[in-house]
Amino acid sequence: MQRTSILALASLATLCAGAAAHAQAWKSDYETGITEAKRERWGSAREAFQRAIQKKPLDDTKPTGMPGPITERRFWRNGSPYSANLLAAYSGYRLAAKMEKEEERTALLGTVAKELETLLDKKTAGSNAVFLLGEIYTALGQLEKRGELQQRAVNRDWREDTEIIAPEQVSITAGAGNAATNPPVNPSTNPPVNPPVNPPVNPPIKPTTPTATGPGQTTIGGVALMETKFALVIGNATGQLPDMVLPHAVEDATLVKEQPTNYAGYPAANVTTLTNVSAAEIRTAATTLADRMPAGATLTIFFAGVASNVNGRDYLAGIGALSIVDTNDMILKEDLYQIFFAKEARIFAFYECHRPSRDSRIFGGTDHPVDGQYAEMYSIYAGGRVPTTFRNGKRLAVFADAFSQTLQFYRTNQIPIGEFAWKLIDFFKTGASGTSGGSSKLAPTLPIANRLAADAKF
Amino acid sequence: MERLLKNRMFSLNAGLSSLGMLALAGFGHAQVADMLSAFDAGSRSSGAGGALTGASPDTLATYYNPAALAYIDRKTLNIVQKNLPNGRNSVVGKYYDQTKTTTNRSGNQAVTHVGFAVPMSSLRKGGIGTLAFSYTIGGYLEESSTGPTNSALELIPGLGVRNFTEKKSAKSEFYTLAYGRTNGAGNFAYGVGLTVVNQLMQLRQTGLLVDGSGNEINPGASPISFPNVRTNGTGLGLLAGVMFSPVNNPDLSVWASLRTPIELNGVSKDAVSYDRIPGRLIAGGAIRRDGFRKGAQDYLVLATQVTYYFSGGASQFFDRSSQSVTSVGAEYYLVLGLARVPLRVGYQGITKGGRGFASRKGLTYGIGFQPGNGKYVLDLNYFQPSGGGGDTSITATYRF
Repeated sequence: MQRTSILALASLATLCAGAAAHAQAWKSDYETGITEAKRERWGSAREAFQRAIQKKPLDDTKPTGMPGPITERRFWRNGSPYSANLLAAYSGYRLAAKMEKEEERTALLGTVAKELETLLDKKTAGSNAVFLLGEIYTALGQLEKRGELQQRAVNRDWREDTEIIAPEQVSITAGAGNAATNPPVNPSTNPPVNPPVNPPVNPPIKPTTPTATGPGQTTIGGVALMETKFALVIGNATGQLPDMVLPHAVEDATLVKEQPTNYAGYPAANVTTLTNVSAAEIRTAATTLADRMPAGATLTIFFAGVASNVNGRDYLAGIGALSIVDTNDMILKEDLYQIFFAKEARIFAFYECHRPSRDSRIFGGTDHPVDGQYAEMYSIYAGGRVPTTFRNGKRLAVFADAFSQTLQFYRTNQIPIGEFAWKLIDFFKTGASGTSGGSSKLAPTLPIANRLAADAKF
Repeated sequence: MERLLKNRMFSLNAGLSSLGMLALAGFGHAQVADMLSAFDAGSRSSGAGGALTGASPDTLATYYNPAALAYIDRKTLNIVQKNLPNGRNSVVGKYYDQTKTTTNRSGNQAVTHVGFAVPMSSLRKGGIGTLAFSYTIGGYLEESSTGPTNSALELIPGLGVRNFTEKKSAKSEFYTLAYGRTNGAGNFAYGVGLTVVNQLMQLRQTGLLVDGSGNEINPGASPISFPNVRTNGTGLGLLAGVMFSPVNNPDLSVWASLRTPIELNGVSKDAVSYDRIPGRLIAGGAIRRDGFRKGAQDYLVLATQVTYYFSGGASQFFDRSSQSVTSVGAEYYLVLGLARVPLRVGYQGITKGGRGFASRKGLTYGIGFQPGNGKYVLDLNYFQPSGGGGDTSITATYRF
């Protein structure tokens, strides 16, 4: 009997060892994909993930159990989800970014988009897959699809393996409007890889079919923060110029200051918000902010308050300005820009102010510095006054409201300024009441740019 | 064998010279629980009926199934303290045909296992598998018998034994060096071990030889000598085991191990000593299930295991026939944050393994605690046999 038992044990050992070797192949392929991706070999990585998919087709949000003692649960890759489909798509996305021929790039991105759409249809996708798909739609100029994507519910509980996804591109799973307060998925398992290579983007300047996404609506995954993005938000609601002051400017600034972080990839620490300040305080804050900026950073300025053109030059007024020609408490717009030009910053400025004509001089009308790279957008056409609306019981400028809605709509850290402006105008005119048409006697301006392309991104 | 005291059985006068042999052959009604081979040194799964002894990745794997060593991935120290079984008999009737009333009790506390495991990777780069050494008490029996003080156990007509006492004990100490490793996929483990056994056996009887009137015969120099024997022997055995989980279903595990019979060297052919520790076959299986608490990582392990002991050596006092242990148990791992609290319940049934012993069966319970860093684990287990004499064991595991 003992001899029989020994033979039985030996036979069992042989059978088990053979069966195990075959079943482990997908793990080997998957880990090869991870290794190749970390080496920036995106083509090889994609192929490896695709081999894994052939052996294990469906992504799985749950940890994959590993063989081991029955009394202890052990998981593959410390409990990582199995995301071969997502990572194959991501590898394709990164591979496309390196392609020189646009046809090939477009074809690959199209294939990857279909793969991600399939994941969504199978309900095996989380916020990262949705975020990636949104980026690809943007890259392909398929804004209708992007709009439709934003209407889809995202399974925020679906965990994804983000080990090879660049930190800047990891979707932040969060409730709408508060993405910045949520940590990235699996932060400890996502060592910095390499800075992402943004795929070439060539979207149309004007979106074809506007799609509104207002607060409270379903939104896609959070936007990765970029340390190179800064914002200066100013709201002056008081002053000595009753006809020019915007009483809602602080509310506008409060609304706006959250949006770059939540929807456009601006780290909260990089957003400086000033309310009811003097021109000197603006200068000081700008200098402090500029000192922190790396060369070539992106700066968004949102100014709500009194602005004036004095002797042909544009000024932003502090709350102590006694008249619209009193420059004692004003800062020259160009001086403000120069603080940041010195850091090679690209400036995207949004001015919310009344724009009366005085002696044919209008703020933003003629004074356009020739230095630096910047784009300026005004809340109302020349000669107009800032219209307001109500949101949550508070009076707000329509411009600030539309600015906020537009950032929420795009939800990306790479917003083309021209496209953004058109969308903002859409929101301005429709009040987010629908998806087409809309009209108003009032309208903000399109951007005025200096050495910036219409699709320059901020 | 070390012979400590000469077996001077009943060296009475010529007329009674054969009484010694007759007396030793006459004990057939003892009821002490048989733990001579089936003593559980106090594994962590004792509270689950011992149903997972062959699958637990701790140093007790050196004793039960060295394949489980393969899953020890850190240096690990295990120490078990447990009470030893103890049986007490009240004896009446005749000396040759005693009627015993047995009370099984919880005996003295003792360290029943000490083990240390070292992953080979910590000894040399690229090392595979785990090596472990342990000391384990794998068999234990302690039985005390007391006869009446106001009457005598009849030896032969007109001759009896008053104030009879007997103490019988045996202990099997296993010193094992074992090694276990897995295949590349990790779903199949195998292990081997080399074990050296030190077997202790002891028998001591005392009493007063009295005549039919109850008067002591030859007070002072007794005409007979009661047996007082203490022997030990050593032997060498081999151990091998396997453990398997399907690659695509790690929630299922089966295992088996085999220990060779161990021939004891130096054991004399007397009425006490037995010369072979039985071979042992363990086979078991378990499944794991989760999802019992929403959002929690709790899981349940259901296990069953059968341990079969082949026939061993036999002597008049320590008879070793085949014996089996049936274990069924459940472990529910309550996961609280990073900590785990295993809750155990089970049943264990041990058949008797020879003449003069009784079976043992009962329910088991246990609880453990493992904090988040997993460095140490404490387990407290309790076995409540139907015949009394519950076992309590405390198992401490430290992972370096």
